[in-house]
Amino acid sequence: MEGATRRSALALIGATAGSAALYAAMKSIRHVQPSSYKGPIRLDGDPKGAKVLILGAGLAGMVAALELRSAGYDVEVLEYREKAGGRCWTLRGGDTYTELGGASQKVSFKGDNYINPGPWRIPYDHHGVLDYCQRLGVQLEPFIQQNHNAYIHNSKAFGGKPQRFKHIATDYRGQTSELLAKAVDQNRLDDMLTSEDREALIESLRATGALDDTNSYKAGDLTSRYRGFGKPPGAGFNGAPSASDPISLSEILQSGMWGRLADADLLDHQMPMFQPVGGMDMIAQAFAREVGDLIRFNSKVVSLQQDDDGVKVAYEDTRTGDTLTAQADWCVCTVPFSILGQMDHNLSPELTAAVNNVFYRGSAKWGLEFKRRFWEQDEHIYGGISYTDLPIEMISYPSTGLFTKGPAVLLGGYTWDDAQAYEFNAMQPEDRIKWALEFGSKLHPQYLEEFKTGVSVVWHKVPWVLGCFGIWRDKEAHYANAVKIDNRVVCAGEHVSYLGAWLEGAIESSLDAIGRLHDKVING
Amino acid sequence: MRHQARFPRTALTVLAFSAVALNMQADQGIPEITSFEPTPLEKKIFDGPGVTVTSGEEIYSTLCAGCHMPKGEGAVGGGMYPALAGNDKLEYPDYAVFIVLNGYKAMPSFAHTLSDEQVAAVVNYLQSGLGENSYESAATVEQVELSRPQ
Repeated sequence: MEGATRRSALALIGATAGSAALYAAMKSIRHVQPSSYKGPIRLDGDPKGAKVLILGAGLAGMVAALELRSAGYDVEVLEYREKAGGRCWTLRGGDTYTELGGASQKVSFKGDNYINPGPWRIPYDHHGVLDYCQRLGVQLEPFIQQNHNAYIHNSKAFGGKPQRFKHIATDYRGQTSELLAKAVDQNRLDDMLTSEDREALIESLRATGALDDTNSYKAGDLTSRYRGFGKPPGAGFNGAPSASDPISLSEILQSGMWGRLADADLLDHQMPMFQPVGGMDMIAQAFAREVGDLIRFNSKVVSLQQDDDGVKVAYEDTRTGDTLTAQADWCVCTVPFSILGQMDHNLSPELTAAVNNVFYRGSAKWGLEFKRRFWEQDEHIYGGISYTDLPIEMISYPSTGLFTKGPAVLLGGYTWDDAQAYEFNAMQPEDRIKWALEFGSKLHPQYLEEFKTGVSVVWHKVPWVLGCFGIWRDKEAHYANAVKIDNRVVCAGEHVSYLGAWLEGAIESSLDAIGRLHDKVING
Repeated sequence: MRHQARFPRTALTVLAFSAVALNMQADQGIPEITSFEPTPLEKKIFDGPGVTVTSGEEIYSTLCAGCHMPKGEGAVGGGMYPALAGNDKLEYPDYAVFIVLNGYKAMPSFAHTLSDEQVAAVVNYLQSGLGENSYESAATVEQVELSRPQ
């Protein structure tokens, strides 16, 4: 079994050498398909001191700053915020976040506890992010996306009682396998299968669905080895296990709980996923160590004008109120289109139409700190995600600090539903926390006893982006015009990619943009 | 963009409210849980899938106010949300109906979030009920229906 050997080898490498080594090893065994990321960018040729003005010090802007400076450009970066990173952002104890409308939240998490309001997990095939993490010394650790012992919860099924993922997943697979195996065995699918494949298919369904010799999925040792035992195996006189009873297929089908079974099978949710040790903004901090000297913070760009000779930008120093100007030969504009669309600019009509074609989605996220890890201590849930039909949509348990005592922060909700994202967006912070506790307590009654403090971020109220990420109304019509160098200006960011909302989109978009810009500078 | 499988969301018919609520202690930022008795509006917000409130004022305060702010005053940060109070583009309903249905620049479309009745109700509220706006409420359900993007 070559596959098993390879997996064991990887497990061993991961255990001894950490996730970065695991990733390198996975690449070398060619387990991972190559992405569009081609490795460190090469910008050969002398730009002869050409100056590039970069708008925005998120990941797209800082990638451009780092690579263009090392290629010999004179680089200046303007950033609205007081720090670098953009949506690559972490909130920790001591931080204060003020949203549009003026509500401030002072984060009072204990110690190193944190929440990532924006990106929070990195897929294994986002090679650009992972490569920069390695180059810049950002320590990565596994992010637990899938946990068979976490819950699927539907407030209207099973009396509102959360069900363990492993029960729903195993029973769903087993009973759909049983149906298929029996249909094949009764020759109902003969027109779709050769006789050799019929036999192999039944055999495979028995193996993957935990079916017995009669192609049945039923209570017993075999199914319990997947879904869990009624009484788990132990030792001593009373060590013998007892089987558990499967949930009927009809109940599962009617519960709708199958809706989340494949979430961790999505390409960008497949295990292993990664996160920086200590918070997602460790990536931002690492970039800022490299290019922080190029960044002017608290600088709100209000005007972007270009002609055949260069670009001229007016910006306001948000601390003094002074309006200042910056000039350059070229501009890499990573400002979200939500903001760029409001700016005084003379970009081409084609690019302007592209900018105005993108709307920004809303989303809400909560970081809730509890006095103890009751999900681990009481319910044996170590990382991963529980899904619910309630408006918080999910609860994600920390992948780090497992088994430690003391307060811990979980993700108390992450909304995607439009209506609910708007509704939470319109609430004040204390009401959002109140609702997150109300809904979360339906999965974990311990919430009420154990809650310490919380913070929430609703993305339409984030002052420097006005939304979570960009969505094209008509990508086919406008995308190429957003990618194209517009005389002296090239746009970059997650919104100018097919990896929207992901850090990888920001990075790959930036590399693509500066590669073309450099070519134009060198070759005309 | 993400593609997530979701629960088919049928109505959250009854929300059983447990005893959750917070008193924010402003000086410490540490809330104390006491009891949570939702207001009548709060009870409505999550009473089913999608946008469950129906009056113009309710729709405004539970959706629009998030960006355009509770009194329609708008907000300014790195970017801005325009004020709707005192906004003379609201004199006639057509503009607001178009924007709500189609979105505008970074603002999303609400065509799939709000019914014709809800769009008409909220536009009428913008025209006559919001702050200093004292235009005649003139949006009709028929107008919204005809204005929907094809």
